Amino acid sequence: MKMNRREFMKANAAMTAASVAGLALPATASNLITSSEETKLEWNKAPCRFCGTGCSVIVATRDGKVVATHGDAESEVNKGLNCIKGYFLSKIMYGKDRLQTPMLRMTDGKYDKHGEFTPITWDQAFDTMADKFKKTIKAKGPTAIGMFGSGQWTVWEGYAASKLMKAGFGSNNIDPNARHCMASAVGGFMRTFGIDEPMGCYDDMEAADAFVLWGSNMAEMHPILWTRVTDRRLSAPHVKVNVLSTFEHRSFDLADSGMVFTPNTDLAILNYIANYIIANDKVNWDFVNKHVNFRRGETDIGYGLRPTHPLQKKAKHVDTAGKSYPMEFEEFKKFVADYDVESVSKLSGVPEDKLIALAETYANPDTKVTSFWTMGVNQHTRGVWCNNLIYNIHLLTGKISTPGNSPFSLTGQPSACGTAREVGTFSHRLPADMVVANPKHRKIAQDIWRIPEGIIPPKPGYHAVEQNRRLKDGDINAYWVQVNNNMQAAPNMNEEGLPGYRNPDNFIVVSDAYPTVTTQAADLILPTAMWVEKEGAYGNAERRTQFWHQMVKAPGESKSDLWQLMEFSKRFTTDEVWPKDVLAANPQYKGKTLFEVLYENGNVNKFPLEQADPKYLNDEAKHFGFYIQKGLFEEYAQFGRGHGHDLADFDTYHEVHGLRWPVVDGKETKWRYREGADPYVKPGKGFEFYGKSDGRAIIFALPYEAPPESPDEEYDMWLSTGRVLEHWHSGSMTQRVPELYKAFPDAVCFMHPEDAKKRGLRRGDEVKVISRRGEIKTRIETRGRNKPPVGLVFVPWFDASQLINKVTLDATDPLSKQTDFKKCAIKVVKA
Amino acid sequence: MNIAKLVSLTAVIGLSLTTAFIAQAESVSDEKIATLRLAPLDVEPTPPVMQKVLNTDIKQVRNYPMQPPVIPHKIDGYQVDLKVNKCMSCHARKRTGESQAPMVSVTHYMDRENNFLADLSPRRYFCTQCHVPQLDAKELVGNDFVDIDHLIKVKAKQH
Amino acid sequence: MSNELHVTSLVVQVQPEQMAEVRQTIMKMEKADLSVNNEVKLVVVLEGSSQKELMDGIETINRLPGVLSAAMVYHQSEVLEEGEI
Repeated sequence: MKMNRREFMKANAAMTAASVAGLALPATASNLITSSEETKLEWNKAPCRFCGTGCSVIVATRDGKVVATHGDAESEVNKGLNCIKGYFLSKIMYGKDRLQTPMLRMTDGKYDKHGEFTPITWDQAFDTMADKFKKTIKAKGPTAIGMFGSGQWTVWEGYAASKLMKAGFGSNNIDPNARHCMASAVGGFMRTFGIDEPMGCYDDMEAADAFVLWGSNMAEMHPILWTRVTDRRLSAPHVKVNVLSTFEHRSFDLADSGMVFTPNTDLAILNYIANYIIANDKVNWDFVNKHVNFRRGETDIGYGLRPTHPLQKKAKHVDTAGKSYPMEFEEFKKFVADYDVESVSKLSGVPEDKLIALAETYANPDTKVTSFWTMGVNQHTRGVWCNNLIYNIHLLTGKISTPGNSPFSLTGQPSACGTAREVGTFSHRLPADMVVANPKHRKIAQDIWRIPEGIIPPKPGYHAVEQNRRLKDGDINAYWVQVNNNMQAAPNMNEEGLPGYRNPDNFIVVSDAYPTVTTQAADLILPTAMWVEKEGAYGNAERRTQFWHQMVKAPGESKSDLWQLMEFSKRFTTDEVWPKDVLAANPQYKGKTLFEVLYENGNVNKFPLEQADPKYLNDEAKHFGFYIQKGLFEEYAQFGRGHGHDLADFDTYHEVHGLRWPVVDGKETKWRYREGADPYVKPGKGFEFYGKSDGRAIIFALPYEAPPESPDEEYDMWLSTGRVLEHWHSGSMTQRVPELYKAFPDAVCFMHPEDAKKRGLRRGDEVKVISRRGEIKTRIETRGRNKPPVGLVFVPWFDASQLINKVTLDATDPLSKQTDFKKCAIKVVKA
Repeated sequence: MNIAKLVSLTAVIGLSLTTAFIAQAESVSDEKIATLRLAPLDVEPTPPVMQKVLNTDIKQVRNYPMQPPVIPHKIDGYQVDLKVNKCMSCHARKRTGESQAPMVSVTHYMDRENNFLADLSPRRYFCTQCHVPQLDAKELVGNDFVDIDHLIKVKAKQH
Repeated sequence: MSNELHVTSLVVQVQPEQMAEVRQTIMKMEKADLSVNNEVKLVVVLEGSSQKELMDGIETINRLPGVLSAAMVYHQSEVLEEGEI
């Protein structure tokens, strides 16, 4: 049958609407529009592959290929919209250079650190890899192996990886790239509330009277949330938008008040606002008296650099950085009194009247305020402090946990919350906010995991930046990277990352769908299935857990991360990796493979294959012979149920468009800590911050402290790095979509025209951006979307040919260990 | 090609006999593996000259009906902020007679709850969140995405 | 005459007892096509030569007795070439 264009358009329109309405199109209906077998597409829901917003999309497949995607009209997150990246999801899996077979560096048929990448079989790959891991564990113990994962792992991939490392190999050296992204947010939540993740949800946006963006560029980084803020601002004229940043960007286009501040002075601005609230008698005493404690945090805590660095040696309280001491309100009042408008205006460069207006926005009891922040606050050598200080002003005014009153920490990655944080794939964490250092928490974990005592080490493992340092120093020798491009993403590549990966003592394995600069630095590359090539689950920034089915097959020999982890575990027995005394005390585990102990433990293999919906592919479940995704999820969910992290049952998530935890009695929770909205708050309490034993959140006294590196005579400018709308992280997916690539093909150095003139530079000139650590070549952009002030440049990091992380400094927040990618000193010279 | 590579090549072909596979079954040096870079990690390549925006005003065919069309012209210096939306000065319904520019789709007149509005929906106000101009840049790697239209034609021929 | 072709699809929410009548009425509309439905939801495809025509069509459907709402899901417009039907 020949269809003309008109019919094709109509058929498409009908199918789109039918999929939204949840109606199936019968293949044999008599109606022209619905009958054509030839235009039949299979439509299914999936969360978007990119940022932490967690939009839902509807994916069309036909003949084993994804052929179209559109925004899910039924999703409360995005109501049918996508950003430019989301609209091009259909193409991300089809870059011509998908990796299709494992590749090992070889010379003359043997592994050689300097050899060429040579295609091998999975068996050869795992043989080589297992050999390296076994030798390393035997020689140096489990602290000499490591794994670097991701907030882009699915929930069960992160969970299976965490189990393999902590409960299998007995090593806490597993950390996600979410360390670069969300660790300070986690630190802030744990310190102030004792429990991770936002109390509010996206519904706050339709209820707020004022928005404040702290160093966040939502217009480019969370575009769909920005459509909701825009909708609110333009529909309700009384609503005001305040944007603070170290340079002007697209979010300023909607700002009633845009404020450009000198890097690091956000700490002072936040303390000034607290001071204003107290000085003008705007403290919500009823709330503060019932629900808040005051504490003074340790100061002069260093910059998370190597211990040999002069700045680390100079800092007084490196070892006690996380400590805090009780204090009274009067002491706190005195502490913030130093942050008056004159001195803070002078320090920050923000005019006094703008500071006063911002402080009044928070202070006015009739204005509902939602604060948003992401990397500007988190990628900060005082990131945890900055999070704490934002909570201070919401707690002083009681503007929290009610619709529109919301300190809202946004997330970068699609499952930074769902996987990295909730599953606890950090080097110090266990699922449901528990930590390895706490013996009670280890006991809970080993009981659920059905492993003996003495396997999960009490000492936290190496965090992201530390892993690169330990690779360089030769303390980690066998290393596995999954779902991220850390050679491009991690700071100070020249001095730490690259020498670490290329250290001749080390064996580096990288699993990825595409060849990246990280695979370029690897020794073994494993081809990996992505997104709807496997069944998955992500958790977004508003605590919403979303599932998807496998819709198409992965190309060539590529396999999911989950398959790789579980298959690899078959190659180890407990005798090879567990301490002798533990095995002697628990002989029933002797001679078992890690696969048997971790995944055939009666929990993970509990659900037969028949429970998987036969309508969908599930290559991994078929391979292992049981419904692995359900088994892993249900075992994992045991950690949180009844403890404030309740997840619904597995099957429910395949039906709904996501649910926000805690899900109690089938009902999701929109606002936590408030009576009536959160089932965990006891009746009569009003509010209860139940993460803390006395139910009280903490207001912290924390000062402004200088950044580790500021511009000087030679390195005379600030450098901030970040993303652009059209590219996701390092560009490994979006640079392969022609329309996205052509929208922003190469990184540039955004610079103020005066700074360019001073250096004799014109738009388009080739320049070198140089720091004490390294340099890149790029071109000058004096126009366009970012308008830095004099003295600061912005260079995005998506471009594999312009590795800006050769220039950045590996200073981290000493509490969260998250890198500060937003400020270091550089110079720009003509190339 | 040395013997070892031949052995692994045969091993791989033994697994699957697709053309893509054979094409990949060669050894690759590390400067060649990262297709978006194609340079050693310790060398800084010269960045390409800044490309011009394609300013042809010729519509580019969409990959699928729901794709937002790309912008076939320059938008340098267009003001889209609290005060003005320059794009709408040509693409708004009332302006299209004069400008002959395509009108924004009717979906842009609906709010979050699918109610029709008299004017552009505020949630769609910032055009560049979905619509982007294209630069005259050469793709670094191709893309094998298949248009549904093409799949249908292939099927129709088989029948 | 305009050579534009506009196509849109709607999810129409209908009082279950009036589904049959609503379907009958829409079937009589010249540029509307019925697609699938269940007891309460009905998919309709509209075409026209301008957006105005589509919006008028949606309004007409919205005003039908028994229709609770008509939500547009999708809209596409193309310029037809000479001779294309």
